[in-house]
Formats: sequence, structure tokens, C-alpha cells
Amino acid sequence: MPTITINGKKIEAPENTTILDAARENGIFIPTLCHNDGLIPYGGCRLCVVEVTQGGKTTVETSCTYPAEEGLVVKTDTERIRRARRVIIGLLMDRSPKPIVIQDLASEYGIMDRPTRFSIENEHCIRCGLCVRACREIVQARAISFAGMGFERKVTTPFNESSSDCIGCGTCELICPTRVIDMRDLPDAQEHNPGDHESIGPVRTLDNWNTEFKVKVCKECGNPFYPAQPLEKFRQAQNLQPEFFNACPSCRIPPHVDDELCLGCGGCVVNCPIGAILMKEKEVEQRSNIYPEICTGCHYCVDKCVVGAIKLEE
Amino acid sequence: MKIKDVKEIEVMAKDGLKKLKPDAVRFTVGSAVCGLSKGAKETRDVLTAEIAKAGLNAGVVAVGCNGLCYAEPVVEVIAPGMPKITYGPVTVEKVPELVKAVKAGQVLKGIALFKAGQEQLLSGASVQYGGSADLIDSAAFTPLKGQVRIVMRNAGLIDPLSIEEYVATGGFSALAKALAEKNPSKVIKEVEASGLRGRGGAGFHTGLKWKTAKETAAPRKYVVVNCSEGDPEVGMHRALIESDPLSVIEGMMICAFAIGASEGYIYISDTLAAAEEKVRVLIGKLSEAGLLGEKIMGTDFSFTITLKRSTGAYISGEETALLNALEGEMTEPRPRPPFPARKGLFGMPTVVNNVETLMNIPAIFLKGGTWYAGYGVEGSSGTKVLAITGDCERTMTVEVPLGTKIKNVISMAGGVKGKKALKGFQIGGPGGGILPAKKTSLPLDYQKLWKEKTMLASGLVLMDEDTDMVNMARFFIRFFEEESCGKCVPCREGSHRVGEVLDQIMQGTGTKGDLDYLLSLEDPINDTSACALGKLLLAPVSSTIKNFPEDYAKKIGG
Repeated sequence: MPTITINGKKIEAPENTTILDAARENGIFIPTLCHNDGLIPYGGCRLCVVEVTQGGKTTVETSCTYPAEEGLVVKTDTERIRRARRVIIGLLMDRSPKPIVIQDLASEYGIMDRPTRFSIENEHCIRCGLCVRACREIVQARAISFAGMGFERKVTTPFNESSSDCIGCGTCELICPTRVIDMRDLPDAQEHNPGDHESIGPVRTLDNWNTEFKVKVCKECGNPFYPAQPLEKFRQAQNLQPEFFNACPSCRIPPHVDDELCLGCGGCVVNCPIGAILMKEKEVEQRSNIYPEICTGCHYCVDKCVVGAIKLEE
Repeated sequence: MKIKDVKEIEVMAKDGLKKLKPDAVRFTVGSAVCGLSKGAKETRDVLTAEIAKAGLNAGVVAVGCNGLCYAEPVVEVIAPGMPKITYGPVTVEKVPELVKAVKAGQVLKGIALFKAGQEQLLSGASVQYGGSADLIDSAAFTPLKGQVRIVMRNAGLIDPLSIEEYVATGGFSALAKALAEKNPSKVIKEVEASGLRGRGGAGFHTGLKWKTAKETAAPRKYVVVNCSEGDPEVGMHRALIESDPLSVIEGMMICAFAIGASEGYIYISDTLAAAEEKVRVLIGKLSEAGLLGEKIMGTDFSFTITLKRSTGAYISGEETALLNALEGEMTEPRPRPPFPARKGLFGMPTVVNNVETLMNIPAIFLKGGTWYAGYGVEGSSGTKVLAITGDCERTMTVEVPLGTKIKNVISMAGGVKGKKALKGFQIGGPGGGILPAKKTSLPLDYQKLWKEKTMLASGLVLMDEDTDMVNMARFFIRFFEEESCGKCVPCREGSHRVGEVLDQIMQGTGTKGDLDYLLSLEDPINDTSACALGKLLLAPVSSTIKNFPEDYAKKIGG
């Protein structure tokens, strides 16, 4: 394990980690905006810069991307670093003064009341790229990306059109640090045609990406619970039964096996899409046993049991 | 012919030499983009027609740019019993007179520039031209005086599309030597001994880069040629690759042999369409000649080249952004480390070298690293090609040994246009800042220029006494603003805001505080930007504030 020094403290960093990870493991705080533990380090916001001394040379590097190599001497909070961060936060403030994450950073670095040189543009998106990377790396949909160069860069769908790759999962909305992505779940949307309008039921809208998704209705309780497209994508990815996502999470109650009726044929064991059923010895014979901690309540076994031994209620 | 053995390259060289000094008259017309834009195509057409009309036994060859861009279209005449005579500019109207003079065995005064008695080739051989002419010799011709041509050894001499002519000058003999010796470490040792630094601006030692790539174990390795030139108003690499694309390809193959790569990419800017076409044709011709593909020259070495077109953006010349673009990702820089020599294209060790760097390689390996290190000064060895442009008397491309004083280079170009005084100059590209006229005593030396917060890039831009330096700074900041990829905050937001402040100053609403604000941004932005584009963002502004405070004072009013 490489040993590095951060702010005078010797630290054993695990293999193949970054300075940022090593620092955080040891309770040393480095501010970040574009970093997320679930994503590949990007180095876009440059807020996590630290002074790195290696081989007698001191440079300023982004700690989120710099590997923690043997013998590094790192300083995370020198005047040079604070000054650099002040400039970055100031540049972000010039464009996006309102988001809470930016205001928090500005007040921490004491630049809340600095004179404004430019007309406030008041944009919310800070171009950190978290949504773009989450869509690509986690969801693997690549529905959104950066477009344009330099100051004109923005996050959008291809040609600003409604993206057919977007599955409406809402990961972008969840990960956005400035809450700029406008996702709404509407209970009863209407489609407006000339001179007429028609109810199309519950939908999810993502105005930023010009997309709209029909929301699936629970087979059991009749309540809308999640857009159909991501459910279908996940179902296919996991090779699950078509009925798998028919019920909402609260209706996914493990069914009950009637030991009197069960033949012990094992059909449900084979049919269960996630292997929540195993045979178990009951007295002298084998009987099906559903493990409630694994069962998702898809009730596929209920429909498939040849003798009707699996029931929803006791 | 197909080369099946390393020794056959000498046979091909003999055929090529006959073309370089033919029994008939050889007219060469500079037909790189600089020549074509001045009518080289028309000159060539009329020349061919006139030769037929006059019944002269002569051939017309389209060659590259010999560096004398101001005199384009340049025509060189090699006639039996005469020295080689260079004419320029040869416009369409002058062609009939020229053909008449050549037929009569005379020199056409007026447009004749200089003569050359012989041509020293890389192979060690020389082409001797006979006879004499009442003209200044090429060595005494001011724009050429003091030049040492290693990179530009074939520029304007050979037909860029002819493998035979290239081989005749000593081309591919460096590769043949390397393949015959079968010792990749020796190649790297020679490059290290030469002290060659990457000619892109960062000046990283080429030998060290190659060594790193060689020593990194990986299933595949790559060589990438960075031919994505984006400096505003400078077309140095375009002239180089258009005039002698085979040198680049040979340099690339020697590198591939040294590091153990079998695949190469040429990443060429969209603005270099003519060069791209030439490279495309040559890749086909080389494969036919057994100099590319499987078992090159009958040895175990195999190499393929893929030509990729860039969008022409400035950022695509940044080596990690270039690799992203090659992989089909967004053209934005990657975090470093890992450096491309360890983990580059598709995660494999990759050497990214620019055109000029690679063109040096065949010469270095053929003549030895110590021979190359004999040119230049301590820490900066060899020669440097510079495109001189801006307010200069003669727009041209020169190749001078490193250590040459900048003022000497300027005098090659005839000084400032219209006998005006020099106010400032720029040598490091847009990120190199603008230096005042008194700094022309600086030598072309990596370390000394870094000390002045500039560097050695591809062009030398002169600015005369009438130049408004605030306007100049605004021009370069606007360039950065347009070319910033937008990945990192300091460059994306900074370039725009600096531009806004400069606009305010130019409109007369700026204050002294604005200048302090601009200067206060320099170090933090340099520290935090992801790549050199952002790091050097403030250079045009801070250098002009420091060197030309009077220009700012005029706008701010005290």
C-alpha cells in the first residue's frame, strides 16, 4: 500500500485510489462539485485541486483524478489552493449565483459580497456533467450529452429534440447538484388535440429533455408507480419474466404456500425469476418455501402453480 | 516495384535519382496550398502548354513549398548544363518568356531569385548541376542565409507523391537500417542522444516519451501523428506535411518499430484537405510498394496507418483530447496522469508526436543522434521550423538551428513591412503572449523562452508600430473563447469573462481595477485549468498589460 502525506499526516492509501479518496477515508475534507463516487472521475469543476509535491516539484493537480502514488506530499488547504478555489467559485457565481451548493461554497470561501463585475446571468446549470456521466455510465442510455464549445456549452439531447434514448429513469434529476432538471410525475395528463382533448393517464415529464413517459399502473392496487420504459429496460437487462414489474413495491407481498395443497413438484422453484423459492422438508415430504426477504412480490408463481397452492392471502 | 528486401531500397534510389536530375529539363512548380492560392495551378497548366508549343523536351512536376511563400508561385528549373535556377513569382504572363529563356539556355532576369550548383541529399550523396549563371548563390540569398534544412530537406525538391524521388534523397534508408539492425533500443538511444524535444510547444523529450511507451508492457501499442494544426494565421505544419508527407510516415514507422507498435493513426485537421488527400494516396502507393502493411521490406515488421480527419478545432491538437476524438468520444482533454505513453489510445501505450518532430526522426537515425545534437544549443538541440507571418516584408517558412536569435530570423523575412518599426512579436502561438520589440535579441531556446513566459511553437507573428495591443489581446482571447472545449470551469467561464472585461476597456468604460482583476486571475487559472489551452489563457492579456501599459492607459485614461 502506497504511503502518502496529506497536510503533514502520513496515510496508507489503498492500491489504485485517488488522492481525494485517500483524503476522505482519513477524514480530510476536499470540496468537490463534479465528483460522485459512483462515476469515473472527470476533473471538470477543478474545485478539488490540491498542491502535490513529487520529485521536488510542486504542482497543482485535481485530487479526484490524481492517483495516490508512493511518496506524494499533498497539501489541501494552502493559500495558493484557497486562492485558486476562490477564483473558480467566483467564476461560477458570476453565472449561477442562486444554487445553494454555489452559495454555500461562496460563503465558506468568503466571497459572497464581492462586487459583481458582470450582469448576473442567473443560470442554474453549472455544467458539472454529473447528469451526462450518470446517464452514460450508470443508466447506459447516453440520452443526453454536452453540446457546443466553451461558454456556449450546455447539456442537451441530440439536436435538442425529444430523445428516444431517454428512458425517463430520473437519475439525472436525482444527481443534479443544482436541481435544474425539471422532472414531474403528473397523475392524469391530457393530450391536447385541436378542438379536443383526451386523457392519457399518469405520465412523467422531463422538460429539459423534451420527453414524456407513460407511467405504469399497479396491477394490484391501481396506483401509478413508475414509468414503464426504465422498468422494461431493467427487466430485459436482468432477463426477468414479463410480469415481473406488474405490481408496485407496496403490493409486492410474498404469497403464501398452502402446505395442504402443495404437491412438492418444484415447478415454482423453476419458475421463480429470481430464485426466491426453494424446496424445504416439511415433516416427511418436500414442500415449496418462499423466502420473503428475496421475494419481490411479482406473483408469477401464483399464476403458474398447477394446483393453486400458492395464494396471495393466508 | 515491390520492395521485398531491405537492400532493394538502393535499387529504387538509383531510379529516383534519374528523376531528380533528368536528361531533359525539369520544371518544378511549388504547388502547396500557399502556391495554389497564388495561382500555381494556372502556372503549371500554362507551362505544360507552352513547353509543348515550344517543342522543349521537359517535364513539369508539382512539388511542395520550399518556404518562400512570398514569392509563390515558385518555379525551379533544372536544365542540363545549367545550375538549378529558382524563379518567383512566376505568374501566367511570365511563363512564355521563361520557356523561351530556358530553351535558349539563358536566365530570365527579373524574376530569377538565385541559383544552386548542387543539392545535398540526406543519403550523403549530392546532385551536381553543371554550368554557371550570373546570379546570386542560394547560400548568399538573404531569406535562405543561416538556414539549416533538416526537417525541410525535401521541401520543394521532390514530388511529394513520388516514392521513388523520396527514396532517392535517402528516404526509407533510415527505416531499412533500423529494420536490418533489429535493435529497437538503439533507435531510442539515438533519439535520446539527439536531445530532440517535441516541437508542439511543451518541449517534452521525444526519446523519453518513446522509452516510456516501449517499457510499458501492453498487448498493443500505437503511434499517433498530431497533424491538427490550429494556431490562428499560421500554416507551418500544413506546408511541411504537404511538401514531404513521406518523411512523416517514415518517422512514424521508425517510432513504431522502436516502441513495438504495429498500428498508427494520422490525425489530420479538416483545414488540411490537400495534405490529407496526398497522405491517402501515399498510403495506397506504399502498400503496393511493400513499404506498408504486412512484412515490410521482407522483415517481420508490420505496420498499418489509419487516416482520421479532425474537426479542425484548436483543442483537437491537445494530445489527450486528440486521443478522445480518435476513440469517438468528445474532444476534450483527459486527466493526466496517466500520460498517453503509459495509457493512451484505447488504454494502450501511445506515442503522440507532431509532424515536425517526426520529420526529424529519419535524419536523426540515419546520421546519428550526436550529429543532430551538433546543431542548436545546450538543452535545445537541432533545428526549428518557423512560419513568419503578420506585418513582415516576406511571409515565409524558415528552418534555423535552435539558438538563432529571433532578430536574425526576422531579418530573413526582410523585417517589418513598409519599413515600419517593430512593436511586438508573438512566438509561442496564442498562448505564448506578446513580447516587446527589445526581446528580439532572445535566442530560440526552450528554457530561455519559458523564462519569458512564452514558448517555441510553430509561428513567429510580427506586429508593427501601428498595432493596438489591447485589440490584439482581445483577438487572442476571442480565439480562446471560441476554441475552449468547455470542460473545466476556469477556461470555460474565464475566457468569456476576460473577453467581457477587455470589451469594456475597449469601449472606454474600463477602470484600473479591471486590469488588477485580470492580472489576479492569471495564476489561479494557470493552476487549475485542465490543459495547456486554459493554462495559457491569460498570457495574451498579462503580457500586453506588462509590456505595453501605454496602450491600456490610452483606453482607460489614467
